[in-house]
Amino acid sequence: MTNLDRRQVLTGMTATGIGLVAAPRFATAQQPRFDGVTLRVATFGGGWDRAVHKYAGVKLEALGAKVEYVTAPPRDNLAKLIAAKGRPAPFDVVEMGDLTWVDTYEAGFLQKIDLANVPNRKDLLPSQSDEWKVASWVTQEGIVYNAEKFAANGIPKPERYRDLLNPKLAGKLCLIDITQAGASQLLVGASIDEGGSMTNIEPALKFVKDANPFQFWKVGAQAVTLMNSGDIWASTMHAGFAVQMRRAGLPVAFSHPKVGPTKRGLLKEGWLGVVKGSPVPRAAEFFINEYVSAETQFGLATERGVVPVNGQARAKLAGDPLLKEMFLLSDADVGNMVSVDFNVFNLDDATQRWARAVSTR
Amino acid sequence: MNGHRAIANARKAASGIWMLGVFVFLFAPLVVVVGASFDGGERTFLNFPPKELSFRWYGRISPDLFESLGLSIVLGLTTAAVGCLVGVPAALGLVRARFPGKSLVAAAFRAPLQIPAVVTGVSFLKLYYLIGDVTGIYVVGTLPGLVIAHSFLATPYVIGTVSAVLQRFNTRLEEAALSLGASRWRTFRRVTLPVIMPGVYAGAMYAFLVSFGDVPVALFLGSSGMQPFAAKIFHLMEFDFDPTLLAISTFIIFGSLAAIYLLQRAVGLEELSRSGGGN
Amino acid sequence: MKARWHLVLIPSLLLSLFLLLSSQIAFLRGSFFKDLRLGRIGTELTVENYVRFFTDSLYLDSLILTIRLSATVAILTLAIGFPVAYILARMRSRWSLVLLAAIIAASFITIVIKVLGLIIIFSSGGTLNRLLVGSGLLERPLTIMGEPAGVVVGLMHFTMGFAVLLLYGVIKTIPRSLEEAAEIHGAPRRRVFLRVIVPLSLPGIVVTSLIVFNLCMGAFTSAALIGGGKVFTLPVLIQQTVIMQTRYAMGATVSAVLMTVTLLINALSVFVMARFDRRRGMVA
Repeated sequence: MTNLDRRQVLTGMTATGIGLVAAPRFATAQQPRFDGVTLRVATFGGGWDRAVHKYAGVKLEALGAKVEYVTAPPRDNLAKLIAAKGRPAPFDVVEMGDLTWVDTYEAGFLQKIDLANVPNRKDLLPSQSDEWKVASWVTQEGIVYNAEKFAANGIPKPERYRDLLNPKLAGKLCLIDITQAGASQLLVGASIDEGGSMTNIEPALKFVKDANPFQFWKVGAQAVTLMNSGDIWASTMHAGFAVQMRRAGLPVAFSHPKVGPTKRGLLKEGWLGVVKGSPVPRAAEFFINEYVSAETQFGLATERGVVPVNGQARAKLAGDPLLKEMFLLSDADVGNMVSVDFNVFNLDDATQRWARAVSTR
Repeated sequence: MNGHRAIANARKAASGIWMLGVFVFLFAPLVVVVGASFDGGERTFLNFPPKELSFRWYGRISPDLFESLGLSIVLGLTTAAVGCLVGVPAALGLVRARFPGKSLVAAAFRAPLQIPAVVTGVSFLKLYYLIGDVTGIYVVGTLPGLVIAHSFLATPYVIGTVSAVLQRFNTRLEEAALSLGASRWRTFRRVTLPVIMPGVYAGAMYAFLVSFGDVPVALFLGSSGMQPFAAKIFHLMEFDFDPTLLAISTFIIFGSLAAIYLLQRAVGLEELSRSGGGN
Repeated sequence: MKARWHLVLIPSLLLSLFLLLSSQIAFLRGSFFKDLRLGRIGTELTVENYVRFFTDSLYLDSLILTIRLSATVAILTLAIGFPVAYILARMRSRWSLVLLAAIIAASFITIVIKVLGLIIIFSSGGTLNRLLVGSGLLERPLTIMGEPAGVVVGLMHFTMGFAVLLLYGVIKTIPRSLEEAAEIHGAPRRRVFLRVIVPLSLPGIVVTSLIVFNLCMGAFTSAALIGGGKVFTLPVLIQQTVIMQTRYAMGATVSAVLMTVTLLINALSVFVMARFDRRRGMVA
């Protein structure tokens, strides 16, 4: 409790300080100070937290703050918010997958962001920020496949999800597990392509059942290891994995599946929000602004294989032939990708039907 | 005579093959992990057998992995200590006292074993907030918070091992000490405790291992500076595969073998196992 | 002069009961209210979650699968572990303790590490499968990852140490002279083993199999990592219901059923054991 009290007092002090200097916001000489502030960021573990800190966290710390990371998968962090309901916020900034964003928002765990404090949003697409959330990264979901094995066995390059039903691929295929962010993109993509929609996912469930994959991967390392051992020749995952595997010497290629007559590829976004009741909203907004800066976004892309939300960073990536091959980078291509609308797509229902469709008896 | 020896030899061979099979079964995955940790390639996956020998991954283990390893060791030892403090009196009471509803009390002590760990994690998180509302002390994300939850998981093991020793314990020794004028506490310390010690050690070992291997509870009750080792590597595997994971796992594998060996030298597994006879 | 042992018990009991009841009541209470997602529950008492559990094949199948897997693991662990414990207990060299220590140590290394090794071992192009297929023992490569069989293997890795250690202790209490006496009378070793050792250690066997069974009923990590998203045991389903669907009330219901069923199976086995003992006593 004492900890919180101190934090609140300090916030008060900082807020007053900001009030005084807020007007000439872009005058760099007058940057706000965050001395004594502790910002708690809920994000992914496994090194992602370190990469975020290296680019964005240090900027805040240079101004006197301390940044702490609460690392867990987004769904577990949501569970922490649910447990803490009606009490002081367990963290200040929360990073969410697209589905978790809908739930976190609906449950009333977020507070509005003062977008004036996030000037870097000028480099983002208009749909990628509003007063509740700012996009933090994009992954491009699709099909990673072993090009050598495909060629040797006379399997054509997969253009659509249904191409994975090729009998020559029986038992050689992994699909993403329903518990992983990215499964929604598979369900929606496969549904729309087979005449279904975001509300009618039966075609996709049929596809998943027919595909009868070797495994549904829960841990990225699992699918990558199976790809290396030759147990599987293709897996639905995001393009970042294809980059990783190619750099490690595997002969993989990536296909952005066609969805319906005109669309191609699927987008999955990560979102940043400020937790309701956070005592340090100004520091949270500063951190979010640094998170979407061209420098951070470029760093995360090269280190972690995500696609930047920042247009400048994306343009810079096009200079790397491998990334250019694996990712869709131009604004036109990105604009033609499918996004899942989680206000329409019901993952709760999909999760239950998935379990029924695939569980072993 | 020769026939007998042949039978004895066949028996020995059969035993040997059986043991070998079990050891291969248990150790094969570990051998693969250790072997792959020496693979030198710039890889994001396991390579076994290693293509080029190298120790490079050992040099790259990030310091925060060692930090969380240290935390796990502290957490495990504290859990073992708390588990014994709670479990030993419980076992004494369960074995020696006669009171109605004893089997019910025993069942209550065993109950944590039947709760799926995910549920323990979520429900303790909720409990900690409720306690915090009343007392103003929030233990979420702190070492005490983890210790309480892990002790909850581990205490039944201590009760089990200590009870088993107590059941075979001859109370006449204590009676003799008491009749010679020793105080009850002195009798406990000098007579009872030394005899049940193997059970306590065995229970403490189980408690440590339960705490050390836990993932689901730590996912909920950990925090940035308080992330136990097993939960940390679970996270690492979720994103991309970092070969330093294999390197540090190798440390864990040899560390566990060494710890059990030392325990055996210090206490004697013979004694430990004697305490495991039942509950 | 009698010590009041029940007084010693009280602080521990109070502490354990407090933690058990307060955490579980806070959670399980939700099972009697309507599930409104996002951790929210209705205000009226209802048993609809329980009705749903017992009328929905998803949950029932999962319950049956969980019991079946746990029972399989218990039986296999016992069948493999008992001879190991017996061999070690009767070994006359110091090596027996080193071997015992190694089994325990290997058992307790977290499955999170082992699972990577298991993937490689059972990979279709891996050494094991090349040997099996090459030697003509198998027609197709053995793939158990993503199958219930793989989960069984993963769980056995976890339970073997417990079982061997517990059984070792049991067998050590059976005097070696009993076997020697039987052998002098000309009984073959196998008969001695089945007629003397196994019956005498039966209580220990039952206790050990119950412990193994209980551990498996609540085990999450093996089923989640090795099950390849296809093996929905109750703990996996609970995790999915609570964490993915944020249906806390339904998750509480599933977990209440899991706990009750486990307790019932334990009680039933103890009851059957007691009957069995009494019958044996009468015959003898």
